[in-house]
Amino acid sequence: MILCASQGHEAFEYFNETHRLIRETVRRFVQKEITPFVEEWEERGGFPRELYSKAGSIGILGINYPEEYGGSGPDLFGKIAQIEELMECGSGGVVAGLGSLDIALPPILALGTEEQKSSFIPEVLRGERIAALAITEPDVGSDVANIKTRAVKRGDHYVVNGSKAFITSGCRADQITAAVRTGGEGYRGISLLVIESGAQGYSVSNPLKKMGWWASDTCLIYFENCIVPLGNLLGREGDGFYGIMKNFQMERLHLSVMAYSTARLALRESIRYAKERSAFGGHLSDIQVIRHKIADMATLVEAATEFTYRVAVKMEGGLDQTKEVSMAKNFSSHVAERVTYEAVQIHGGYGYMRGYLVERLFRDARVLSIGGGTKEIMKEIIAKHIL
Amino acid sequence: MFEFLLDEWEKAFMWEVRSFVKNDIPSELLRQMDQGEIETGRPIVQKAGQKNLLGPRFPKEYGGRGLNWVAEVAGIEEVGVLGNSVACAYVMPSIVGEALNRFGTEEQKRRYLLPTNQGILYSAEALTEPRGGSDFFGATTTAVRRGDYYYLNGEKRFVVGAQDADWFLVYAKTAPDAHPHQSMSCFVVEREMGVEVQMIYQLLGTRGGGTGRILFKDTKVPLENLVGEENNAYAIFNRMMIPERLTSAAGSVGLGRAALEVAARYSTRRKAFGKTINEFQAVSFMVADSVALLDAARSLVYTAARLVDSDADARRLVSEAKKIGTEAAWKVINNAMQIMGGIGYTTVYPIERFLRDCRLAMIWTGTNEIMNLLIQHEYYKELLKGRRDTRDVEADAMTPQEEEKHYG
Ligand SMILES: Cc1cc2nc3c(=O)[nH]c(=O)nc-3n(C[C@H](O)[C@H](O)[C@H](O)COP(=O)(O)OP(=O)(O)OC[C@H]3O[C@@H](n4cnc5c(N)ncnc54)[C@H](O)[C@@H]3O)c2cc1C
Ligand SMILES: Cc1cc2nc3c(=O)[nH]c(=O)nc-3n(C[C@H](O)[C@H](O)[C@H](O)COP(=O)(O)OP(=O)(O)OC[C@H]3O[C@@H](n4cnc5c(N)ncnc54)[C@H](O)[C@@H]3O)c2cc1C
Repeated sequence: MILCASQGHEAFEYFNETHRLIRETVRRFVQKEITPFVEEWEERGGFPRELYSKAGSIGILGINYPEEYGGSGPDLFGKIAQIEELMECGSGGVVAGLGSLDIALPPILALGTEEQKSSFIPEVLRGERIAALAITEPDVGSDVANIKTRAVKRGDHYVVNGSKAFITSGCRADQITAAVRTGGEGYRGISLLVIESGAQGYSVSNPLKKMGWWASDTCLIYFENCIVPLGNLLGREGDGFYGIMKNFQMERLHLSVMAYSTARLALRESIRYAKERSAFGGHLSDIQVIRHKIADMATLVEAATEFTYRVAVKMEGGLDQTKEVSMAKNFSSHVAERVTYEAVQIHGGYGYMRGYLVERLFRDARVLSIGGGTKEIMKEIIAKHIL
Repeated sequence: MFEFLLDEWEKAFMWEVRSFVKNDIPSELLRQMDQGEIETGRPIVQKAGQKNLLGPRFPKEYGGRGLNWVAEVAGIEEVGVLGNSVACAYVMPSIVGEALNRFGTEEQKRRYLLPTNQGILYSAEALTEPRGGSDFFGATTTAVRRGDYYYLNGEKRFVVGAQDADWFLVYAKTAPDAHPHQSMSCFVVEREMGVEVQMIYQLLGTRGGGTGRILFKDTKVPLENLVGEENNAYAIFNRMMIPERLTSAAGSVGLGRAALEVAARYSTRRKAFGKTINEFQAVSFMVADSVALLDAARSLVYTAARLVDSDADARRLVSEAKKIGTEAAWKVINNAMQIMGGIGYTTVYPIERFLRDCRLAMIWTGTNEIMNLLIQHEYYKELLKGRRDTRDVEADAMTPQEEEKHYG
């Protein structure tokens, strides 16, 4: 039996020896390079850029990317193992920031030319460039087909005008994979461009302050007659929506993993606290309400984890899991909210204090049913499939 | 909507508080508190005190208005929209004042209750200890009487106002070996008497109140600062839990109402898929759920307040109001955040602060688990003692054979 996740979770049917090694590498990296500083980064609202290159140099960023572009080859459960272990740092913000490339690169892989792939992927996987995905706009979030940012062909380049909102890693991204409108209204008019931050007419806002995910920078990006070479178009004009939707499946799987991992950490903290904390002449863990809360929490974490693995294994096998991955994202983010809520409750007043892990986990959990497609949009997708 | 439940006096007070909330508390003050640039509720009690809005149910000669609980909860709901920290500062005179008004000496009322209600003195309550909040009577802070003074030793934590309060209502053990309910006494301890602040906490929400840990090291408290009788803090505690919990409940309803208003307005303006988002049932039904939850919670808060006003034992309803009121607010604020989408998670709107603030409501003034303990206790008591004057519905079973009923 192979033990995976430092929680001692047994899932031998999904993970193999390679994954165990991945876990070890990532775990060491987290313990050495993240955990000691995570409080400071959270308070400061960012982590050092070098973290990307440190992670890249030992191959952490390249998991589940093709070898020809510097990755270690397709391996979805390797990726899941990586996210689970990164989440051990206890900061959703660090993981989201470090992981922005995972939403930025797949459209390039799916639609890009050989030349685009080799110029926009390897450096990102080495952690030398930061990549972000820019779809959402101040006026448009859920209704992706309706984005307004315009790209007009002029000579050998596009002139881009408009703005993007809530872009994770946006403040310091070197390249963004951006959805723009090259054609008419609706989803058919959307294209994807890789825009480099050095481009003329490109600027970013200060980071937005948020309830959680403090260590990741989230900002607005403005394009004012921004010049982008025609060669940065991914696929053909009008391919954008397809690229975005395909990408969403993987993003939602990742968010589901982040969500149950958040819950798992909160559960673990609660178990520890309940056993330590004395109350009414015993320990909290002797009180039935607390015991049963923890039993419920454990049940939810287990179900979310196993369901997500199941969806992942089917995705890996090439089955369409659009509906199921939406379910997984909703279920896991619900579990994250529920479990972090109870974890704070079990900690009593301490749960409300900064510096207690559960306090942060609770704040970080709340974004998971909003970002990457809201809970309601997930339900729309699920309903469309079954009605 | 609920004004029909209020009489002229109650309504007038509610309106007065509403206009105070609207005009007298600058947004900047709330921002400074949330950022921890200010760590005191003093500006709040000063402003409210000047308008004679604090402790409205206390007699006029002690700075109140001689109003009732219903008027007070209606007012607190208004203050609740400003967030937990402001609401906490606003209601503290009502909480510590209950002890003085009911159990205090004339001298204590004049020295502490009156100026506190006037907003001249800023007060705090120190009950919780590092070893336990829920297990209150397991407290370990001691007060030993020697000569003309009690000497206090021990530590209290999570005390709002630790940073700046002029006086603290403190519970300490005077008879550590007695039955817990006969072991404690209650004191008014001025900061000057030797209250040491050990630390100020960084909190998830409800920030800016100077919440901290305080230490008593042979703190000398004059005998006349004992509130009520020695070893009789149990009675005071039970009484204080009424304002403690009713105020949390009423404030939470206000906070939930505020969040709902912001989100519902937003939903009539924000467009997606060619319509305003309130045209999606996913959104408008969240609004409906929220409205109904708040109305149900408010009804319970008002009912509990009426019951307290009637001088009946209101323990069960007050506990229910605290539990239901805070949980309703929590659900409503989460709905509000969901309705706002990504922007709700940022500080561009106050929803994220409301959510952080509200999380405390289920923990403090007795956790909601402790509320459940009380509710079931009271219910069983009523159920089992009462004469049965209701129909015996058990006998309506399809096959009510007595010989098949076994009780282990
Ligand atoms: C911390 C953070 C990081 C993010 N990172 C990124 C990023 O890196 N890149 C990026 O492109 N975006 C990012 N986002 C944006 C995120 O994907 C959007 O916020 C999300 O998709 C929702 O869009 P919106 O905020 O515009 O909400 P809206 O679309 O305005 O939705 C508002 C409300 O209406 C509801 N609603 C909308 N349409 C319907 C419908 N048809 N039926 C029922 N209800 C509906 C929604 O569910 C929601 O409750 C991030 C957001 C956050 C908060
Ligand atoms: C920001 C803040 C401000 C505060 N302000 C004040 C203040 O001004 N003055 C003051 O005196 N106190 C204050 N408190 C303290 C607050 O009232 C306590 O935190 C609260 O009563 C819970 O106590 P505890 O933190 O010790 O948790 P614990 O008592 O350790 O409880 C931990 C968990 O166990 C549960 N639990 C405990 N006993 C039982 C049981 N018998 N059955 C079932 N479940 C149980 C609780 O519900 C909780 O979930 C404040 C707290 C905070 C966080």
